[in-house]
Amino acid sequence: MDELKIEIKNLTKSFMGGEGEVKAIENLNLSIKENEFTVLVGPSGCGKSTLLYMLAGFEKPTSGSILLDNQIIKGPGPDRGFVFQDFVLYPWKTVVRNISFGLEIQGFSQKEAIEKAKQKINLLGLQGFENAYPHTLSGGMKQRVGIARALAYNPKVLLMDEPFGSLDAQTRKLMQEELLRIWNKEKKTVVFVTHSVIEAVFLADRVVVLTDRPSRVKGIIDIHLDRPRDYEHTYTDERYIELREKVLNILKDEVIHHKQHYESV
Amino acid sequence: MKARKINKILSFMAPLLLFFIIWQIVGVLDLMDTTLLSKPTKVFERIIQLIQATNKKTIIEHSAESITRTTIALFLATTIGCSLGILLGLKKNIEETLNPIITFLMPIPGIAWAPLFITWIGFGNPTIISVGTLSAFFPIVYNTSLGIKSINKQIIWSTSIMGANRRKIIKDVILPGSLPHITTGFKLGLARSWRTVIAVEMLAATTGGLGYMVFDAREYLDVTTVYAGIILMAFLYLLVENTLIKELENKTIKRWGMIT
Ligand SMILES: Nc1ncnc2c1ncn2[C@@H]1O[C@H](COP(=O)(O)OP(=O)(O)O)[C@@H](O)[C@H]1O
Ligand SMILES: [Mg+2]
Repeated sequence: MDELKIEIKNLTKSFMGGEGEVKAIENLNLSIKENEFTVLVGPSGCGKSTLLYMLAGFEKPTSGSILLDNQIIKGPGPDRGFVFQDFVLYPWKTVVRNISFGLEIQGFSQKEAIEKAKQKINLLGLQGFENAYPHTLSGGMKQRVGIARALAYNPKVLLMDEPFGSLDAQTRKLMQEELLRIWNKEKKTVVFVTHSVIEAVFLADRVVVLTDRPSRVKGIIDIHLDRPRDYEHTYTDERYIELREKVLNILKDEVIHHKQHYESV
Repeated sequence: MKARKINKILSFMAPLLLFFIIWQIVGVLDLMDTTLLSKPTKVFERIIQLIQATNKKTIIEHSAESITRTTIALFLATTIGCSLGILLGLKKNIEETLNPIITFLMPIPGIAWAPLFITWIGFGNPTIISVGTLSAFFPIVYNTSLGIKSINKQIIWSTSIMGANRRKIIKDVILPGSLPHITTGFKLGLARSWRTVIAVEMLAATTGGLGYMVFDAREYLDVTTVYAGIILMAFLYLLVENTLIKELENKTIKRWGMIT
């Protein structure tokens, strides 16, 4: 548990846009331990997705570096899995083929890959939907497929960009509990982005609050709540409520800052 | 399901039937010169005659010639157009070089190429098929490259993080992901090559084809045969689009929810 997994050092990322250079992230430093559940929160547009994309290797830092297992991240690779807010499943593949595809890429035969994918189907409660096409599923089911697909080839790190952001409140809570159950079974280092403080504190070992753009680490709050957690118990836990207040207070200034700068009327 | 299908066909046929009835009335009451206008009953009689004709090519043989030419033209246009479209969609610098040329050539009506091709390679099938291919080529190449360019970046990322190489991503993600656009290009290509082949047949066909048949009938002032040919041109196209193409879509992009 105390092994250092990810080390972000002096990370800066800027984009060239129509109105010149936009600094999304500036001098961000953060270390993440193995099998730790880290949740990033921050005002919208502060650079959370950008940070996750660099961890995934989709985007390159402008300066600074990200180490994964002491190696500089050079590009995307199967030691990581990614879950998007909009699911981005393959519409032309059935549920089971969506999940098995990563294993086929790893060199498993189609038959073996499907066999292994079945385990994840069971883990995510997708039995009975193996041969359905994604467009026939509800949002919650789609994201179950998204998570199963990301877990199928057994990556060490799971990167999740507001994965429950487009689900209704009820499904969202259910999926949070499901995610914790799965994480408890398949130990992974999780980096989870959300703008919901309720979700962040419920899930995290550590909540990292980012500043408004350009993004840096504003504060880190350790969440020493008992596990396993579920809504029935954790929700009414006084420490949970206190921690939520604490995160909210740190975040508040940044949200106000964001409003003043980008939504000035 | 079945009832809905029949309903749909009926609501498509009703206005057509009305049109034919009005045409028939105008013809029967002699409201206009019948040698120019003919009558639906006469046209359908003629179609039957032309199907059974023994002294000359039947209308079925003419149709078969047009269909064969269109099929070859469409096959060539799809092969060349899709390959080039994929290349253009993937390689920005090639696209930037070729796009002005394609944009310039695209609006030219297919038939306008006929005089050139007749001069180059003479009358007959090579010219008809070449011009048909050319006219189907542009919508296919354009829509294929558009489809490839409009693939969601995140779906490519999803695949690259699993360790897929470029080749795998192109084959298993970019190509299937562009299928809705490729289908659109193919359908436009079908419509275009059908029209162009028939048009060029009027100028360059030496043996047969619906265009040839119609143009030939005009020389004998046989308006009824002209109408028979025209009706068949529409009928055959609609038949192919509503059976073959529909079926293909239903089994692929429609089934996958990629089009509504
Ligand atoms: N590819 C890009 N080109 C230009 N600007 C970008 C690009 N990606 C993100 N940005 C900008 O960087 C900032 C951070 O974006 P993002 O990481 O998506 O924020 P968040 O996920 O926290 O809402 C935003 O201001 C956004 O407009
Ligand atoms: Mg985001």
